[in-house]
Amino acid sequence: MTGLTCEEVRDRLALHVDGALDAPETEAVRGHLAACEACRREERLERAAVAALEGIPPLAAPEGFAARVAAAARPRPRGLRWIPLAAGIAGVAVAGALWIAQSWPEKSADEEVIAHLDLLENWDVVTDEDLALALDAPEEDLGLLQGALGG
Amino acid sequence: MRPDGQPGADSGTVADPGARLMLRYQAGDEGAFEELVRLYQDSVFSLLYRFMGTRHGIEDLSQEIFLRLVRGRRAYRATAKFGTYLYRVVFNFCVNETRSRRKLRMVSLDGEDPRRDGARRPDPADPRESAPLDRMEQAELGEVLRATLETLPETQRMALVLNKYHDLSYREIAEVVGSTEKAVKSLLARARRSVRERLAPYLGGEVPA
Repeated sequence: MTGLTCEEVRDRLALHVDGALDAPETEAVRGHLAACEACRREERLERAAVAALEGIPPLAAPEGFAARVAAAARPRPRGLRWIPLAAGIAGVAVAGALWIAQSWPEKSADEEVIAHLDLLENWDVVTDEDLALALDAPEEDLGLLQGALGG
Repeated sequence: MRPDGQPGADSGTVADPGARLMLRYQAGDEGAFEELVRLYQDSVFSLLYRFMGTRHGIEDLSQEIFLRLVRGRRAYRATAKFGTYLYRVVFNFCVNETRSRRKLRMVSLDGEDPRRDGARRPDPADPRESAPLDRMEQAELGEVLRATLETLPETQRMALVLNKYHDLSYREIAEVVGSTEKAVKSLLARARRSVRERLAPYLGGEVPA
């Protein structure tokens, strides 16, 4: 390889300084450098830049780093793995039960009377059997109504 | 069993100590993981430090790298040197991290630069400083070098750091950055030329036209 331009030599300087060019390319770069002061200056710059790069120091891991990472990576014991899930399910179940207990409709005696005002208007002709059929209500509701009416 | 670490290799016959530890860990030996971290922790810290240009947050980033090995342990195959495999994990991580930091910096109005590490800079007026100008120049050169490396595309920067500090061959660097040996030589030539041209004013050279 002969007749490299300055630009071609400058593209190859890093590999030349590292000794990574093949023999013909090394020869061509050397030949050019021998005759070109500007590229020789560039070569000196390349060597100085390499020295500057080598000035960046390494960085060591702090004491105990490996143990901390290993602890973070360690799986929890099998039994313990279910604890958060089980606690979550139990919490949801308790909260649900409390909500249902608080919002379950519970009619008072007054509400039963108000709901059946039509029967009260004809109370004098209503028998117990009529009352049961008309209300089609569970026994405890019927008892509440009768209790409210003093029956 | 194959000493080159081809699939089917087990930890007893693989020569590469990193691959041997990873295979032991894969087989359920939890203690092998801590040994593996101890073996590579300084390499990972140094690589991240030189790539990112800061000590800030390097411990957290390093921990994340090693936890990625944990998450990927079932898929690990000892097909290459363990160091190459690990550096590839680091490279992929660094590319994503750099891009997300760049986005963050674009939206941040905070003028603080966490990369400066709070390092004390020498005062040229302080008579207690020995050769204060030399130190100033050194500090300035270091800062310019850091800034220069940061301007390099991620692949060039990683190739340069691996080549200059971690003694990887061109073929190994090509494996890390997912390229060819020829392309890596070209990447390195461009990276080094950029560094040389940016440092020229501080190294007694001329500023390139």
